[in-house]
Amino acid sequence: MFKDLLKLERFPTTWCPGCGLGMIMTQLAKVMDELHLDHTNTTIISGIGCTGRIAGYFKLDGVHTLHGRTLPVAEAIKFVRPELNVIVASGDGDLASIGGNHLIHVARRNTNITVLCNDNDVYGLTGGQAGPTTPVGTITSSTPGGCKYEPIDLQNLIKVGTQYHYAKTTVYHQAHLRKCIRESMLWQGFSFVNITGQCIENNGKRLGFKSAYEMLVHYRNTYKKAPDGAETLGDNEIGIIRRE
Amino acid sequence: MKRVIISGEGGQGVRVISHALAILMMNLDYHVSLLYDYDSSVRGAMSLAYLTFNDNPIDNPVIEDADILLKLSDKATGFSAEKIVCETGLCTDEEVAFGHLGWEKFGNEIFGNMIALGRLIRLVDLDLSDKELAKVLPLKYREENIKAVHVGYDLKQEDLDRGRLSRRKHISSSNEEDSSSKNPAE
Repeated sequence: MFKDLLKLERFPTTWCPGCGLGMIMTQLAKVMDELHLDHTNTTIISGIGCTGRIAGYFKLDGVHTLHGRTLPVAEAIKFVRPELNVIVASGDGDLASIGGNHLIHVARRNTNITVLCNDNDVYGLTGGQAGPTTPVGTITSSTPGGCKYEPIDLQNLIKVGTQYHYAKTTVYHQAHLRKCIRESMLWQGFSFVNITGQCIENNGKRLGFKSAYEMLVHYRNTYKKAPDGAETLGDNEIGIIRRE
Repeated sequence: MKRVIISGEGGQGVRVISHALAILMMNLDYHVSLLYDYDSSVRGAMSLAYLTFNDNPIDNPVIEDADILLKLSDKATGFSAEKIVCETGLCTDEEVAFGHLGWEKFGNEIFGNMIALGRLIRLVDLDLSDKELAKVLPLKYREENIKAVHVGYDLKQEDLDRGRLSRRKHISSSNEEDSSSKNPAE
């Protein structure tokens, strides 16, 4: 059972009420259960930030790394222990900002690891400052006049290599999230799952959402499935694109 | 699939009830989704929990039309539910004097939340098992809590009628107070 993979004695989790991270953690555990992944064959590497806590709730060996250094640590583990399934769970700030350079080169080298990126548009743990994925114009605690810069394009960053596997989904679309994680885990090469998740406390309320529930309904109304066979995901499209 | 919304105020036990029910369901191998919505104020602010459970994987955590709404306070409004169970005076569907029962049977109205949990367990058609309950309830006052859950699970029609009666009494006594307070002025 998937729950056997989780340290239930540590529940309730440390995350804020309404946070999307529990949903990501649960779907990851369910996929791992389906694929027979456990402490004997899998490790989870996590970074700094709210998402970094995911690794601590799994009954697996893992590393809670320095800020932004999940990918080099994960890559090193994969080189030394190639038989292990290596999963990285981290946030958009950790992966795309301070760890952004690692992301480009791990994608380029197509190292066989799976990255789950909780993309909540801000640095949630530290109070909701603008991060690399913050949409232009967004009011955050560090950009009270609205973010001036275009967000980083994670999709095209991942497509830097000759082979790639990029999935975009949201925490509202639980079945699709599960599918994205499963297909990424089965992909022989670097795979990246970009998961839009709500940070109600340090982002959503500033944007005018009253609750996490409202943010989830917003995801439902905003995100649509990309057409089959799409090679690029448009704005507000969820789907999986890959090149072998 | 069942969708349950639990609505109350900080301090009434919305989180404890929903978490206990969710873990209980998960231990019975249901797929469970639990979404909390409460403010950082510990006491008095709105507190909500959206709980979905199913034999099959759950597509999304959003509940628009609930099967059951447990309402311990009227801080949050605007829900649609097939059945509403509430603390006395908050609805006209099924009123239970949870707080009063807690005070009457266990000396503290806070036990009303465990009585409400028992009622929910009955309404979602679960068999009550002390062994399973002991795994999900807080350690503090565990024995009393389990007894309180039993009280809620075994509520009879007369107990449910009592909720309605106390509402009527409450309304009529309020009316009397209103009329007596008006008399001197008249």
